Amino acid sequence: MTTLTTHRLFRGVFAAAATSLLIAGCSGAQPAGTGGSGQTFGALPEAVGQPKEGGTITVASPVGLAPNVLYPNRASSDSPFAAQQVMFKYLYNAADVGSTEPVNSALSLAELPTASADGKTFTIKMKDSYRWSDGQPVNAEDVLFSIELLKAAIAESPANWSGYVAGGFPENLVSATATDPYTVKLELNQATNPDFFLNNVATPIIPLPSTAWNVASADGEHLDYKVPANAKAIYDYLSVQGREQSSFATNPLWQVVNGPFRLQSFESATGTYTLVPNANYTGPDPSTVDAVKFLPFTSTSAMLNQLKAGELTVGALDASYASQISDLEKQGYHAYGQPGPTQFNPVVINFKNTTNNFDKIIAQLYVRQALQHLIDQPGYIKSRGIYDGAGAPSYTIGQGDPRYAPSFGENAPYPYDPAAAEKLLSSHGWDIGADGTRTCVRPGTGPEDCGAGIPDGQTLSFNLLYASSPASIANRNIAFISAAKQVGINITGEAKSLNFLYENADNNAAPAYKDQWALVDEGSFNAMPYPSAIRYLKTGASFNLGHYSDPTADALMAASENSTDPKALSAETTYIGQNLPYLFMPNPANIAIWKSDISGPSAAFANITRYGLGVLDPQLWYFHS
Amino acid sequence: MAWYVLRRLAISLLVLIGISAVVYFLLYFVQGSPGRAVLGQRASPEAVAAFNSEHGFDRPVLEQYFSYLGQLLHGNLGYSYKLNESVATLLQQNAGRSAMLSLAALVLALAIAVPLGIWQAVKRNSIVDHAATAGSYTLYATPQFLLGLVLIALFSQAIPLFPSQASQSSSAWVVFTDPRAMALPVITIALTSIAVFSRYQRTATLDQLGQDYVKVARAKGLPERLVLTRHLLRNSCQPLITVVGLSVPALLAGNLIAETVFNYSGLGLLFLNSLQREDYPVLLAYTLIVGTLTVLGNLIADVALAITDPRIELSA
Repeated sequence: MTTLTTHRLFRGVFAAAATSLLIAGCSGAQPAGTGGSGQTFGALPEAVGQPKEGGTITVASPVGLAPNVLYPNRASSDSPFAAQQVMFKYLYNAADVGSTEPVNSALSLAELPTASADGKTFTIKMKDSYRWSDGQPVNAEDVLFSIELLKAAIAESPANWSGYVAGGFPENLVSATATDPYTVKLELNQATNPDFFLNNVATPIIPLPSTAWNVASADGEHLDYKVPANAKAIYDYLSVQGREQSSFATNPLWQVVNGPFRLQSFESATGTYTLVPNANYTGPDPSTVDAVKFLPFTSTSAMLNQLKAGELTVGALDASYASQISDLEKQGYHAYGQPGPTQFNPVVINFKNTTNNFDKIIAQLYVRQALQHLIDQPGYIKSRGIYDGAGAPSYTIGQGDPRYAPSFGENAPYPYDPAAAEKLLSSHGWDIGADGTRTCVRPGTGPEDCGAGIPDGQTLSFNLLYASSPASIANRNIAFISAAKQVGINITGEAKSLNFLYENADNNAAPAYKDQWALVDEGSFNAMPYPSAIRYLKTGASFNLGHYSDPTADALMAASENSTDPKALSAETTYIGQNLPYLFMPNPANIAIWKSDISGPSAAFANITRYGLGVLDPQLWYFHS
Repeated sequence: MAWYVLRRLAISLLVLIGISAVVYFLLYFVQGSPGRAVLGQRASPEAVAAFNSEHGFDRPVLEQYFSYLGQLLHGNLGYSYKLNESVATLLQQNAGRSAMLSLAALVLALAIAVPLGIWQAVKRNSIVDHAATAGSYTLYATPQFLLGLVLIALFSQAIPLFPSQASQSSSAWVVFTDPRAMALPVITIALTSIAVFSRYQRTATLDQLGQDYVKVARAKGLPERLVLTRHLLRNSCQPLITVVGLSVPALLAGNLIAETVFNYSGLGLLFLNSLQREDYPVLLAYTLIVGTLTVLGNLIADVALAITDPRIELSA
């Protein structure tokens, strides 16, 4: 039995399990609703009560993703601790979900960076209030130490850092210096947009304790990390120690933290671990709880059972469990959902597929517009078989981040309108043929012709590959195909495993398969915090699956990364929404669930929806009297 | 008998080497080199190439296989890059808990199925026999995940007698001494086994009830209890011994359903997660273990048959 068949077999078993659970749940549950803006699901309560000292918060870990590394600058293959950032703080705390602030300044380690006039040099002034738990200050040296270790890691293998992008940071660093104990100066090899630098370069930097971790053995001497050989030796030692799961909680290295928590215990056999407050934390808002315990779950159903039993304080569910929310609310849980701010759900277009002249057809903007007019995003969000109310519309990349909103805001550039789709096709020479399929009757390049390279008699007929699970992806595509059929576009849908799609629906990785797929829907993508599409849509980018190429888009993406215009990214997201390198499906919501006996600033719970259980910050949660 | 066992073990070793080769090459041709699987589908080609080169996955496949076999013969089952642990450690962490769950379910199933099957045979065609048969067929037809979810709904949520998840301890001993937490998963697995075992036992008992020695024993005036336990049981359990021997690997692999439903990290779940993550070292090791258990289970069943029935001769 092949891996793919086995995948389908087991996914079928679990689909049946999930289905039975949904059927059992649906009998008594109420349909979910949306918030006032249509972007959110459920209610977000304000903080209540006074923080009560003590208590243990139990949190669900991401299903099937037990942490296996503690060294913060992890490799691509590693699975980090969900709350790593409350032990080893990022240089900047990401802004709260829905906020228009650039970062969460109160919880960040530094002031906002300032850029030089030429946009190549950035100066970061760190706060002098933070200390490591061994008493040493968190300062510029710790930033430089971290950067040198990143360089050493990447020099051994690009896979040694999960944030690696060819030609990106730190390869584009000309110099990194500390002009005083708390000021870092980074000079890049080209001008960089300040927002791009803040979100995609500076924020992910994790300062590391340069006076405690600059060792290459257990009792070894402290080394000068600025010597490349020493940096390599230190990195090699730390990366090995960082994967010794049996010593995660006991190795003195990992007890040197600067965040509000430290690791108290870790069970490698199960992935259960407990964080306790860092008694030497010097930042704002220390936690009031006794402990935060992270529990592993074999499946989302198992997590749901624990929520129903009231045994779990904080969890997260995806949109397929929306019908269960009202039952949980009756049991004393709060629920709030929205898609991650940089999440998008593209139907990727293969601009190089020559089968049945698809490349010529899809090159026509009016065809892409017509197809987008056939995607009923509000309908899919409401549909019980798709998102059941737990979703939000998405018309471009970065739709959910108000800081980079496109000029069309929350309005669809191409709303669901089959009549508009028909009109676009008819007005460009596509008539309904004898078999019900649109056929080109006016070849040519005029404004009312089919378009360049499209011959007389050409039919609008192509395939769409979509992920076979979760069911929401399959169901939304079935609905789309049905709508297309109504206007004479003949789309053949093919359900495939996600692995198959990753391996084959990618003109970079599988050029031989180029003519076998026209459209592909793999589900959600997540852009960088500064959601430029440069990695996905720039000509020649490694994740440009369908080989989209547009000089205007390229120029806008380059401006997003390299110009000093603060509105550059908004211009890019606007153009992408209008030019349709992808067709856009709605985003499913990540639904945060938490017991009503804990509270905190509403943003502290809304932030769970950013990445679900993958990245959590329990610092501001508290039990209340 | 000793020579027989040794010969069977030697043949088993060859079988296991064959299994390792088949699985290794199958996985290789399905996936190729593990770099892409380990680093994820979005890793850059440079990163994938660097990983494969660093770990020797760009060597010819035969060379890779013989290297793997050599390590295997030295007790090295490989390393899981996905979980950052040696495969041996992963198996060791999970095997105890899986064994505890499987053994408890097996003991419970046999304790119920054997007397049930005998009772059904003795009371054949009665109402209780038909009712038990209907119950067995129902349980046999019910998917294990559904059974587990129903038990959770009934005995954990509607009537909170038991927790909805199994013991979360990493220690097999702690798991063993927490019967309340293990009740539902053990019962779930045992119920499906009871359905199968009781049917085999009933059929085998019916065959033996018609034998002359049973008539002689009754004619001698032995109490029925002694006829069934002292004489009939040993002769009627042989088919069941074979079934139990063959079901040992299935019990471990089949646990993945129960482990998932009851949130219990064991070997079955490790296998499923490894499949989904394309964690090939773990898959290979798990397949070898199942293969080992299969050949050992068969061997144990054959030996047990010879012990229970002196007429059976195991010849080398």
